[in-house]
Amino acid sequence: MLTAAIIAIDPELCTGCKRCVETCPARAIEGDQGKPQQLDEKKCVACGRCVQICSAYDSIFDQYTTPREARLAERRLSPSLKEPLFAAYDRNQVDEVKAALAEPGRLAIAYCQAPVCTALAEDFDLPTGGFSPGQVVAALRKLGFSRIYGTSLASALAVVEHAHELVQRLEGGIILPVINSSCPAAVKLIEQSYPELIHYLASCKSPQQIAGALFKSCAAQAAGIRSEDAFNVSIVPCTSRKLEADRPEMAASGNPAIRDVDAVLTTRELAYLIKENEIDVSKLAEEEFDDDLPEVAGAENAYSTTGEVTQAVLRAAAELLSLRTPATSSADVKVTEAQEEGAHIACMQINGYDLKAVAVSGLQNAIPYLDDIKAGKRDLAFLEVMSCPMGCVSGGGQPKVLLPEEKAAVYSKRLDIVRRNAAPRSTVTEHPSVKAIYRDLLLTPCGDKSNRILHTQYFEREMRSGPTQD
Amino acid sequence: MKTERLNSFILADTEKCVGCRTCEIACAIVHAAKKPMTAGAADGPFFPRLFVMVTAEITAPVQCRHCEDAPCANVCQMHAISRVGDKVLVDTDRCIGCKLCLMACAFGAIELVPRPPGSQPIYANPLKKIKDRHGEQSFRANKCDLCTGRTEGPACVTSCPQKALELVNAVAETRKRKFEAALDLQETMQDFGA
Repeated sequence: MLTAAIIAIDPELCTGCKRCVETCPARAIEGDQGKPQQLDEKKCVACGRCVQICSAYDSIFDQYTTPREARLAERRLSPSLKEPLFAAYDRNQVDEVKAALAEPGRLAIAYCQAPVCTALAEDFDLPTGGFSPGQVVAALRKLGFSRIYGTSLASALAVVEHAHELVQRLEGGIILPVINSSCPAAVKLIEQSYPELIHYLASCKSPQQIAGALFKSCAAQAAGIRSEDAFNVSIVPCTSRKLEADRPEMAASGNPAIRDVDAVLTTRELAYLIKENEIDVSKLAEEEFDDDLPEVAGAENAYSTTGEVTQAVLRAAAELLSLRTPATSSADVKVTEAQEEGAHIACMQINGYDLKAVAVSGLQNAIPYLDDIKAGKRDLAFLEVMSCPMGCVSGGGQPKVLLPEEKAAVYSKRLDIVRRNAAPRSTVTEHPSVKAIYRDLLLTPCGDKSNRILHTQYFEREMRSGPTQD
Repeated sequence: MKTERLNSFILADTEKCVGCRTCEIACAIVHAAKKPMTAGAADGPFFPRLFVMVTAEITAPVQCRHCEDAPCANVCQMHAISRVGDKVLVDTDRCIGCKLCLMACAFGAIELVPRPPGSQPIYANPLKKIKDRHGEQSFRANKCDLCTGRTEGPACVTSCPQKALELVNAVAETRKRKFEAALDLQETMQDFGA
């Protein structure tokens, strides 16, 4: 488990340009212009926007009190690392993963999200998508992971559980919108700045935590070991997933010492690990994910960019509603272009319900929506908030694009490739793998057992001052 | 006349510059043999040709002013620095890394940087190739070349998020100011009802 803050600012490298302050949605960074900035751990939602924007690096023409070796050690980076270091950085967990991989009797399980596979090659001076997902699987196996899974099953379960929550709330006349709980940065922002909206959040966990809970029990069982001997490594494009994995309640077995997720590696950290082990990923033959847990074709895409979850949840809700009244089978989900900055708006008419859903990119763009919901001014059924500018493909843990003018094009390319690699979308509620896992393990969606494994709680967090607009 | 072809140079607006060093990174990338797109793809330090200075009051990058009577060129024993068109450039194939140009520059705008791996060492006298220095790290002078040949113009100017940098053409600049002064004068006269 992490003991220190997820994000830190190195006072020796920070020039006080304050671009991170402008981009921070939680207003967690403060300081005078031209002086090193301070990050307030309590307010930080670990989205990593500051890490992505920071351009204050360790110049060889400047003299620092801390030598580079010490700076690398402080950041727990390999002494052999050659790349420039920046003032804003995220603490890495590569050492913990290396220790687990070396430990005899440990079953190291890796699961990797689609945007990671797509962007990884960028940190090896290769074009976006330069490694195929199959080559990334091969690299993970070479690193010593015993089981390697995708996240499509967990994503599909998150969509099914979200859709059930939505339908339950619709039919029960319970408060709407359902606020999507997949982005841990958005969840923490709501907990600390909009505590009155906590009960709008879907209680369903994010795919990372669902995968963690499932793999720990199922994969360990399949391998014939105790679940405490399994070590789950979630590989994600995101820094705030570290914060999420650290939440004390994320231990589905009931034993707080058995974490659902033992370590979170960002795309950048996976690149460090591969470089340290001198693996040439581009030369590896493609390998398959382990197949002792089913995949749900097409579902791996649901969390790559903003709007995908909304569409998937609305479709699944439509499937559920039309199952109840078979006459309405022509449920239509229309997605219109952004009408407000950073927001997609989707509408669905079914069984007399007229549902409006909004998907917002960028936490700062979500604030007006959250304010409106708080004031009772928004008639929404579903709100999806992704803290990064294009959703998870542009996550805080992705390779850091150096030039600001290149960022948008790189993010778009990642998205194109993620979409190209994905299998065509299929039904999730009626998917045989999803049905099988409910039949054999989880029983009913939003039922007792699925609640215990797939759902979580949120807590009001005390803040000295809120990050909302003045 | 010589003043018609004063050298260009880059100047920072200290009111706009926030000291983020994006210009340095853009400069280092545009001049690197391998151009990393991401931080992880950079396999060594950046070697920018402009240097962001952070002081108590202001931040601003400092770089070569492309002096008309350039002390760096005057002092170079190897004739490695000369005026080419509207800029002062270093011929790295002649530079022996003697550092006189560093000492001569009033702005500290020249730094010595390692030669790319595998490049041939330079000999002051080609007849005196006494010992093979192959494999040793050698250094050469490195300074702003106004991004010669880059159609979009200097990378520091185009990448600055604050739009704080400008490529200055001194002749055009002073002509523009004279016009502005004349227009001001006209307005002043009108105000007085002349």
